[in-house]
Order: sequence, then C-alpha cells, then structure tokens
Amino acid sequence: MRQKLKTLSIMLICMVCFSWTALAQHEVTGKVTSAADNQPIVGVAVTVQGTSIGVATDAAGNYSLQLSSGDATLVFTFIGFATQEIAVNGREVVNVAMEEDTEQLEQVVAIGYGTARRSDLTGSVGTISATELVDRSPVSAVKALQGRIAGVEVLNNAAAPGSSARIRIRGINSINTGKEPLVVVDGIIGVDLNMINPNDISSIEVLKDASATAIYGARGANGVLLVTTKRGISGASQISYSGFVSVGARQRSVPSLNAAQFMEIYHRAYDNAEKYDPAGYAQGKYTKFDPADFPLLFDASGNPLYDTDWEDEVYRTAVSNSHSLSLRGGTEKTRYSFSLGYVGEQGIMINSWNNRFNGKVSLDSDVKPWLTIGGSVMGVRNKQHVIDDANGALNMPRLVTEMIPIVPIKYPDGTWSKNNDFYSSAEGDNPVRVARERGTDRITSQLYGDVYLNFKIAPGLEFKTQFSALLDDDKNNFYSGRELRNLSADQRGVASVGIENRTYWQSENYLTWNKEIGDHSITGLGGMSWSKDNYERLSVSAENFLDDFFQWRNLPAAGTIAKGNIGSGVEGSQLNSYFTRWNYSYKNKYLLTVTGRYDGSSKFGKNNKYAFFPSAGVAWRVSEEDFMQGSPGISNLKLRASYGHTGNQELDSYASLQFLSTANVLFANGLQTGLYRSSFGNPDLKWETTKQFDVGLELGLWNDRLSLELDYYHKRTDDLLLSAPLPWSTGLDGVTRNIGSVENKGVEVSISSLNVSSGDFTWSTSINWASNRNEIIQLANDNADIFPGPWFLGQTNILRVGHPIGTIWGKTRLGTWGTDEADQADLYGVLPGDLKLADLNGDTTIDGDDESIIGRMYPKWVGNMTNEITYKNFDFSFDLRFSYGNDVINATKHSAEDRQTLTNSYATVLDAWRPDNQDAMIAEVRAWGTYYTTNIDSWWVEDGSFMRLQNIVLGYSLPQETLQKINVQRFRVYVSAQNLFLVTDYSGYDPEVETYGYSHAQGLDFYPYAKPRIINLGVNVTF
Amino acid sequence: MKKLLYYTALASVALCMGSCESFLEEDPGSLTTDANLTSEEVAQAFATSAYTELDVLAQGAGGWGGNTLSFLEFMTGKASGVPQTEAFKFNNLTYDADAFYIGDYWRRFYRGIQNCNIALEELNEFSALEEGQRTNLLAEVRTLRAFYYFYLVRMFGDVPKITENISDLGQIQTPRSPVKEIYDDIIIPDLLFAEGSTLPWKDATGRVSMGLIKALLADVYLTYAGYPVQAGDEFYGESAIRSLELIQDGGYILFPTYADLRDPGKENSGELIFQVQYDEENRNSGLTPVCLPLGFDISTAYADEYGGLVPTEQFVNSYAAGDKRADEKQFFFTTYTPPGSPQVNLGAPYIYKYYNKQAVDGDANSPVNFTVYRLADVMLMYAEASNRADGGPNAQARGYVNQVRDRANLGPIGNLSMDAFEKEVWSQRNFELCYEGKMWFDMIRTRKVKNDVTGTWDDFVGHTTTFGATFAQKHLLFPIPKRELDNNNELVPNPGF
Repeated sequence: MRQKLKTLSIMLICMVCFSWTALAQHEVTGKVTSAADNQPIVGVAVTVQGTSIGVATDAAGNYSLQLSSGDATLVFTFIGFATQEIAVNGREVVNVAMEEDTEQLEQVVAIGYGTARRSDLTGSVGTISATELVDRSPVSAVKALQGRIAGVEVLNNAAAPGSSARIRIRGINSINTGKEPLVVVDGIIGVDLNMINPNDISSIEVLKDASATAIYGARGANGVLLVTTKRGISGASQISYSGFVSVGARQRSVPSLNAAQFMEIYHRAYDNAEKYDPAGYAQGKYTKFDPADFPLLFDASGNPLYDTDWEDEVYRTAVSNSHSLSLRGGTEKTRYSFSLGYVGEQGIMINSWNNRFNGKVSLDSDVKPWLTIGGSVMGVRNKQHVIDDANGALNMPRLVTEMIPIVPIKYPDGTWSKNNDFYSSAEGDNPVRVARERGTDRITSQLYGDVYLNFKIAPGLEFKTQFSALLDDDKNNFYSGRELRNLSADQRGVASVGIENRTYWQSENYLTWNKEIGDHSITGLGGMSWSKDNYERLSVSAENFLDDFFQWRNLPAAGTIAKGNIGSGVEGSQLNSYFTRWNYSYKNKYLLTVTGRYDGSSKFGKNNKYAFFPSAGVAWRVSEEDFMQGSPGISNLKLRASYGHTGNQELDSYASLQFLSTANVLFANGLQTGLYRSSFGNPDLKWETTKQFDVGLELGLWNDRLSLELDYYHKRTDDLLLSAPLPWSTGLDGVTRNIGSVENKGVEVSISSLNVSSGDFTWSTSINWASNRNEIIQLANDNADIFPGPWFLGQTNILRVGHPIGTIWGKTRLGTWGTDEADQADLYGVLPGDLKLADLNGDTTIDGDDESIIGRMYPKWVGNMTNEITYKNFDFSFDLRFSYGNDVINATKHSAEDRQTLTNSYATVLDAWRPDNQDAMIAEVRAWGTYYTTNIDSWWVEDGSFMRLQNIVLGYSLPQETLQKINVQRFRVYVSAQNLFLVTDYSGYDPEVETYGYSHAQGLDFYPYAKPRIINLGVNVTF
Repeated sequence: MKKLLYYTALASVALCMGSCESFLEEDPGSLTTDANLTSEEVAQAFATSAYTELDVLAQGAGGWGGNTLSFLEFMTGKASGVPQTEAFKFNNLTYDADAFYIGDYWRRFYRGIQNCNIALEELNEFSALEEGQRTNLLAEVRTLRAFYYFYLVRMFGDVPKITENISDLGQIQTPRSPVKEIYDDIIIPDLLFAEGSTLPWKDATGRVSMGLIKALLADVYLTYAGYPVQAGDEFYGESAIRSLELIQDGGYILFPTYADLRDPGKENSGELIFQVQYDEENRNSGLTPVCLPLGFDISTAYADEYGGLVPTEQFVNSYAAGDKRADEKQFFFTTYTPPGSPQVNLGAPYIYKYYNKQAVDGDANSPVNFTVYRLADVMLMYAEASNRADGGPNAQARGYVNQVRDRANLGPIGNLSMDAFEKEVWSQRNFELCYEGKMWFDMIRTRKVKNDVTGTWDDFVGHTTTFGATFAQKHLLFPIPKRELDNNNELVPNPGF
C-alpha cells in the first residue's frame, strides 16, 4: 500500500510539473561522439529527465529536441557507455562526448531465471554472441556452435539439407536416455534449436558445471543452452537485412569401380569360383556371361558400351539462399521487434532440399513504473525433402556406390536401367530413378511464445510470472514408387503418412531480490514451475497402387491398407518444480552461489516422484585484492570451484508401468486382437543423478589482451537409466532400471589473445581445447558387458566397466592367408586368399570368443582455433577445428568390398589378394554365391582424427563517412566458405559421421550423404 | 490493488500445490496389468495372445534370405542357402552360441510362454465366462504352452521352467530344469487337461483343435519314449492311442495331390491339422521367395529371389526311382517358365513346397500357410509308435504307410520285421516331411540319420553329412543363446558350446 501511494504521488508530481512547463518552448540540438575516437555514435537515446520525451541520434550522431523549457536535464544513454546527465541550462547546442564504461562493457550473461555479470559467476558458462553467429552465414544455430566453446562438442553427422546435429557437453553422462543438453529459448524449455532463425539470436549461453545447471534440476545433467533472442530497443528504430547465396558441392569422392575395372573384377571373380565352390562350379553355377545375351550393354567382343560414374550423376552443385529481415524499435517504455527469415537449401544430392520460414514478434512494455508486460510469438514452417532414408537398407548413398557402372541412366528408348540388367540378382535400383520416385516430405510447423508480467514490488524485489506454450505439428509424407526394385516393387508402391501433434505449456513464477548493504551484496531467487507435455500420433501406411500418380496424397487409392500398418497413440508427461538460488558477494571479491531445485516428474515410478538437486559455487576474484593492485600485468584473476547434483529424466514416458498391449494375431478369418504384457515395469524408476565438481581459473593479462580460462571437472553419474537386458525367459527383452555409473573427467582450455592492435590493423586469436575421459564404473547384472547395438554383422560396440561409452568391438583382421600358409588356413576351414582373422583364444575356430576392443568412437581431444583480422574496413577470419583419437567404423566395406559381382564395389578391391599380390587386406575376389567372410573387424575401423577448415570469412564494411551520406548504420559484404578443406586419413566421405540415428552409433558409417563444401556470398545491412 | 494480485497469486499457487499429486499422474492411453477387465471379449483376447509367437517356426531371421525354418534344415545336412543366411556355419557345424536363428527361437518361445502364463492367470478371474467356455479357452492356451515347451526341450534340453508371470526383478534369473521335469510338470499335464476339453476336432480358422491336441500328444509321447528321456516303452502305446483316435475320428483325409498341401483354398482342412497362418494382405509367407533360386530372376513379382533354402542334390537324388514326390513340380522343381518367357533351366532342384503362382508371377504376396501337423505325419507317427508298442507292425500301421506310399506312386510294403518296418517308416518321414521342420527332430529323437549316398541309417553321432561335417554328441542340443547366458547367471551352457 505504501508503494502504491508512493507511485501515485510521483505520478501526481509529474503531472503538475508537466502542466506547468508545457507552456514554454525551447529547441536544443547537438552531436554525440565517442570520447575515445571522436567518431559519431548512432542510436544514442537522448531523453528529457522526468518525462517521456526522447529521440535517438542519427547516422551522423546528431539529435534535435523540442523542450518545454531550457531548464531541463538531458539523459544520454547507450550500451557500453556511461550514462550522462547534462543540464541544458538554456543552451541551444549540447554536444556530448560519451565515455566508455568498463563496468557496463563487462559482459552480462544469462544464467537461467536471470542474468549476471560474467565477473560475478561462480560457475562455468560459455557464451557465443550474435555477431559470431551471423557473420558466418549459418543456416542452423546448432551447427554455428561447432567449435566455438570449449567442452561443447557439436557433431554434425548428417549432411542432407535440414538435418540436425548432436550436441554433447562435457562428454556423455548417460547410456540409454537423452544425451542432448536442455535448450531454453527466452525461458521456454525444450525448443528445437535447429528450427530457430540464427539471425534472431542475440546470444547463446552454455551452462556447463553444476553451479550453473543445478537451477534446472532434473533436466540439467547434460548441460543447458540458454538462448536469448533479439528484442525491441528504445530509441530510433532499426531495420536489418542479412542474406546470402551459397554454392555447395561434394567435398570428397569415394570411387567405385569404373566399367573396365568392374569387368576386370567380374572375370577375376568368376575365374576364382571353382576354387571357392568346386561343387557349385561343377554343376555349372558359375558360367561367365555371353555378350550376345546383353546386346544393350556390350559390343560383340564383350566390351561394355557404357561407363557411368554414379557419384557424378547423383551429386550436383547445389545453390541455396537465405534472407532475414528484422525491424526493431520502440519508445523508452515500449519496445517491439518483428523479424522474418527464409532459408532455401538445396542438397548436393539431386532432388533433396529444405525450406524454412521463420517469423517472430516481440513486445515489451513498461505499462506502470512497477509493472512490465511483454511477450513474444515465434513461428516456424520447415519442409524437408529427404531422399536418403532407410539407412542400413538400400538407401540412396549406398546405391551410388553399388550401382553397376556398365549401364546408362536411361537406355536410348527412355527406359531406366536397373542394377540387375546385367546378370546377377544385384540388389537395389538405379539411384537417379530412386531420387525421383522415392522420398519423404518432413513438414514441421511450430508456433510458440510466451506472455510475462514483471512486478517491481519494492526496490530490489521483483516478481515475474511467465506463461509459455509450444504447438508443434509434424507431418511425414512418404512414397516409394511401384517399380523400384528391392524397395517397393514387391508392394507395387508404398505410401505412408504420419502425423505427430505436440502441445506443451509451462508456467514459471519467481521472485528476485537484490540487496546491497555496504560491502555485502545479496541476490535471492525463489520460484516454482509447472509444465505439461503432450503428444498425439497417427500413422498409416498403404501399398499396392494402380499408378505412381497418387503418391501419399490419396491413401484410399491403395489396394492394401493392412491393419498392422495403422498406428496411433498418445504420450504425455508432467513436471512440477520449486527452485531457489542465492548469490552473495563481499566486496566484489568473494562470491558464493547456492542453488537448489526440487523436481517432481510423472515419468518416474510411484515410489520416487520427487528429488532435490542442490549445488554450491564459490569464487575469489584475486585481482580485486589490494595486494594485486600493484601488479600491472594481471588485469583479471579469478579462481572458482563448484559442486552439485543435477539430474537426467529424459526417458520415455510410462517406463515405470507394466503395460498390456494389443497384438493383431492372424487367423484364417482375419486379424483377431490379442492382449499381452508388453513391458516389465519398474515402480522404483527415478532420474539419473550427476554429481559434478568443477574448478576453474580465469586470468587476464595486460588489460585482458591475453585471457585464459581453464576448467577441470569431474562428473560421476549414478543410477544410470539402463534399458537393462532381461533374460528372454522372462518373456520380455529389457527393462529400464537405475543401475550403473559412469564417470567423465576433463580439462577445458580457452585462450584468447589480441596479438596485434595498431591503428587500422588488429589480429586476434582464440583457441579452445577440451579433453574428456569417459569411463563406465558400474553396470547391471554384476557388471556384465552390455552390447547396446546397433548390430551390424557383429556387435559394433560394447559397454564394459573400465572402458568408455563408445568402445568399438569386433574381430581383428591380420590380413589374408598366403599360399605358403595353406595348412594353417585349412585349420580354420579356409583357403589361401581368405581373410586371416586373429584367433584370440587359439581354439582354431573364429567365433564370438575372438572379438575384442578394437577402437573408440569418441575423440581423445578436440580443439578449435579462430583467427580474426581486421584491416581498415576489411575483416577476415577463419576457424580450424580439430578432433583427435576418434575411430570410425567404415561398415560400407561390408557391401562394397566383400561382395563382388553382386553389386559394384569400391575401387579398393583391385588390390585384393591375388597369387601375385599376397600381402593384401582384402580377400581374393570371388563370384557371388561362393562363401565369403564379412564381419565387423579391425580393417573396418579407421582413424577418424581430422582437421577441418570449418569456416573462412572475408568481409568488407562500408566506411562510416559513406554510411552517413546514405543514412545507413552498417553495410557489409562478405565471402565465406564452410568445410573448405578436410585433412584426415579416413577413407569414407567424412569421419564426422553417424548414419544410424542411434545413440550408440557415433562414427558408424554405412553410406552417409556426402558432406558438401559450401561457398557463400552474403550481405549484412542495418538502417 | 497489488495486494489483490499477491493474494490471487498465492491462492493459485496454493491451489496448484494442493493438486500436485494428481498433476504428476500418468495417463498413458493404453492398458496396464492393473486394469480391471471383465468382458468376454477380453477373455478371448488373452487366449488369442497365446498365438502371437507361432510364426517363429517360419519367420525371416538372420541375414538376407534367412528364415528360421531354414536353420532346422541346414542342421540336417540336407539343405544349404546363400552365404548371408550363414548356412555354411550350420552345414559345417561351426555355429556357436551367438549364431543366427537360435536366439530367435528361444526368445519367441518364451514370449509365447509368458503370454500363455498371463492368459492362464487372467482367465481364472473372469466370472463372465461359463465353465465350459472357460475350460476350452484354458485348453487352447495350455496346448500352446505345451507346444512352445515341447520345441524348447527338443532344441535346448534342460530349460528354465516358468509357469507364472514374472514381474519382480528379483525373480528374473531362473535355472534350468531337467527335460523330464518339463515334460512331467508342464507339457504332458497341459495336454491331458486340453484333451478333456470339448474343443472340436477341426478348426477352419487355424485355432487349436482337438486334432492338434491329439497330434501333439502323439508326438510328445513318441519323443518322450525316445531320446533323450527314454521314459519307457509304454509311452509308445500312449502315443499310438492318440494318433489312432485322430486318424479314425478326426475326419481328416489325405489330399489326393501334393499341390493341395500348398493350395491357399484348402488351408486348415483336409489333410492339414495345424498351420501357421499367412495371407495376402496382413502377413505373407516368407518361405515362398526364400525357396526361389538365386540369380535366375524367374519371378516377375519378387525383387528378391533369395536361394535361402536349397536342398542338396544328394538328398533329392536319394528318392527311389518312380517316387512321385521327386518328380518335377511335386516337392521340387528344376525348370520354370515365367509368364510370356521361355522356360528357364535352373540346373539344380529347388523346393516347391512353398511355391505360390499368384505370388511368384503376380503380386509377391504369398498366402501359403506353414504346416505344423498334417495327417501323413500322424499316420507315420502311428505306424512308428504302434510298431514299438506292439513289438511289430499291425495291419493298420502297414495300411497307413501304404497310403502315404500309394500317393507317391510307390507299391505297397509287405510283411516286414519290426526293425525293417521302423526303417521304412523313418524313410517315409524322411521323404514325405522333408523341409517341413520335422527331420531334425526325428534325427535327435531316434539318433539315426538317413545317409543319402549309401541309403543306410547311420548313427547320429559319427554321421558325416554331404558337406563333410561329422555330428558329435554335442550337436544333439543347440547352444543356449549367448545373450541368455550373459543375462541369466543361473544358466549353465550346453556341453561343447
């Protein structure tokens, strides 16, 4: 009530003053410049103290104001500069030189439910700012994060346009549940970062240690990405446009046999058939082809008529473009922003593309001195056309390698060639045809936004309540044509439509309290939140179409819609939380943060619905101590340490329940419904708990020209949610249990240095480096090994105590048996020319007991070096990214090295074993139908270390004088390139790969979409 | 006014706190085992769940062109397949506990057993059912539980004995129980219970019938009397009683032609007692393309013609001259004429038992059922069991063998000694039931193998197949799947694996 009275009286006084002064008129003009370089400053807010009157400076730094009297006081405010209050004292010209404000210049970072000065942090927080994002022409905010922050690994495994990337913060804490960090966009939890227009982003903060993430409790264990979008500004409105055109092409080639080589291998393989299948040979199973039977493909002497390079036919030069337009502005009390974005990405594989439209509106208004109301709405529509689906089966990239080279794309009569036009029962169909006649449209429509009210209850005490909602409609339309061999010909066309509807809402309410008493400063936060997530799904798949015309558009036109091909379901989860955080600082030197969150989740068993996640962090700003004031070299020195608990609750809903599911059981009178138990259920299920300890050092030398940040962390995750295998005798395959522990320890180093700063020329370098060591400490079933899959001709990886997650498992290939080793080979039932595998237990049989650890999926360390050079109006920068010690399973060697004559093979089979080439790693070529050995083994596992020129940018900005003449704030053009070069020993397209979309398959390469090299031409303009 | 706001906020917070417990409740939109279900349809649905795993007998598995049936045939040494089926591992007897197919059988039989166990528990709680109706549903379920266990003991020997729904994590590790105990405590009591039901002799839809119950009892007792249990000769008599009842009272007849056996129009009728169901729309038979030859492209419909299950020439050549079953397009085919194309010579025999013209030449949707029991099988079981029980062949036994021979255009047999008659019965089983998932079980039950080259009956242990591999004692049982050993500490592996 006292507050209300106070507010009222202030308003009354203002009104009185206004009515009294409104009678007089006084014009004042002036120019605002920077005290440092005397350059004009654009967009400085010039307001009259105690009124709502105000303007912003123009491109020349000039302003003009009508005052009611010459007694007013003008207030000049601009970000990064000290606010100045200047009494007019009857003057008509008031020029101001603004002083840079080091206190203000200091970075303010988002920390979850609030912001803090970077210097006040006790936790480990990485930041990437808008310019770092936008100046590099990104189409995806996630990919733009690559290499930017130590300890944040972005794995860009898929190259198809519109595909997303994985983010791992400080290693992997989890085996069966989510490993992705929590994404919070303007307070809205769980937004898909891939779908955001990067131009809308103001900054991204990465919360890494427990002191920073514990405020997100049961969802904080994988780290948190806080995304702050650009909102309206007070003062002159600002229009910005960013756009670019880009050209992409395949970065590398992985050659298959050309026509002449294919025939050479064909003849060698059939010549060898007798050796490997004498009985079949005697029966005449391996007679060579007669050219007369294939007049379309061979001339009379048996030479092929065509030599098609399918890699060249399927990959193309792709042209993409992106445009983003924003309008931001407002008055002192009300600020608004509008933005629109478009990305049209063409894939380098024919007929693949992605389009995205973004729109955003935000409004913030100080409707009362004690109340700010605001909100935003963002919309996305994304449509992706995918042609490389069905990985593991005959997908497009695989067909590129395996399609035989001796056929044309189309014969002269216009019919498509097929893989089985020549002889063998080769798998798959013509990839150019598949690209046209098979594909999926993935359509995503998202609308999300929030409304908030922020009450200033008393000085230093605020209450904010925010309600957010997210609507997400996903639709997949798939069709595969009637004549695509091995894909959909048996079904005479397959169409499917799948719809997923997501509705999410959250309500977050919290009080913030600030108090400074002498040298003591306290910030307190307390709040509570509720959220509910709901999914509804429907899918239908149909077969047997009269004509390809219908595609997915008219499912009833199908001859067959089997009941088993109709799916529908719902899924939901709720979370209810209470949280608090207290920051205390003494003399800005000694800092303490204590955080706690109490989370309840519907996903967990009835015996464990709620848990508490506490953390504490301390920091000591040594450089603020009196004894350090005399040491001029050290401009900043801070030591910090934190410890805390965070959780991971990202598992499927309902995992604690024992379900009865329906099954369709076939009888002669049709399908009957059966009821059976489909899950084991576990009423004790709870979250994974990560206990993290972090120590950090921040050092700035010579006025921060050289700065260093060093972190060591140790994380132990207990109660791992393991989809632990059950003995099959229970009737079920597995149950989610809290068993097991995993440890991650690591070091992160970030160094940035302003190497040269002289006049027109600056050169700065920043380096980040991180190494994470992961180790499994405990597993279910008395630490028995777990093979989490995927299975690919053997278990690809193993979870074993004492070893990291992502340990590759398989046989060891020593080479091939030589002619003089025939007797030894015979012990294994094979011949010279066959693979020689290590017999680890010496029992003269090669079986599961001869498998061992043969590699690791995750790197020993990763690093990134960025150099930025500016000279006059030119800017130049490049990012080199490194990954060292990661292995890749090149599983394509199974189908492209071991199965000659069935399909085309890699050109490497030319070096297979021959009597005159016995020192070979590939078994002697042989006709399809004879025996061969193909297993995951050490030959498939390759060193995937790499160095990539991630980005390189050369930009030119118009000089300030020119800009002033045309009334433009900024005009920059640039050329940039991504993935310009890649240095690696890996033999596939790219060692940064994962084709299974499966959490334990990092580095498992089975025919990926090749990575492009992209060159962009772009422009950034601000009016 | 602001006070009002605070109070409103406080009140709403309090309200939410009050309802927090219910806020976190899950509403999954599907049933849990706690659901209270009462309708007759639900009772029927529980019984129906016992059938979900039947198609494990002929399902796609392993690599390209693999099928669970093929595995049992590869093991006999009388069939092979493309390399991706890993036929060579079984042909060469180099398979291990991690080999293809073995785990599929184990896993799905136990899934079936679980479904049966839950159905049995639930069915006893349905008050809506009349007693006779309940007995018949229980009979259906118990028959299938016996059926699944019967396969398990024959394949793996001693196995975990599970007769209840396991829902406590403390109970998941179960040791192996002796084969005889599984027969005595589960298989035989379940079937005797079912025998007391009023289920009809035949069921045209493919559900459990009295025909199946009797056939299964005949097979179970015959096996129980043979290796490895050797429970006693009186069980040959028990077996013969059931098979004779079925032959005489069941109303089953031998089909006049072999083509009828794979005619979708004659499924679940005539000679056919129990089958795994396939149809054109919901579930196609995988065996039709699996048995097509690789590399000839004879089908205008199938893109994959796998050559996944191919007989050895030695086996096909071992038929007597004039045996109709070895004639072209009876059980085998060596040539094919695709519509509108010249005849293709395949160079070797391929299995014709799962052929379907509509699928191969037309739409690739094969509806051919997989037969588990048919009258010819039961007739030969009677002949074998009664011969042992009576100490020699009776007239009925000879008659049934002659009916099977007659259909194959072979002349009748005369008076044979007990031993010679038994070998004749085994031979007929060998030639009649080949590639139907029967031969392997006959081999381990009798521990005899027909040598296709010499024509003699070799002892199982020591028999060398045409692939040059020799059976040893350890091959009588399949290895316990490695995954099962890894996850159940109570299990002991089978010797030699």
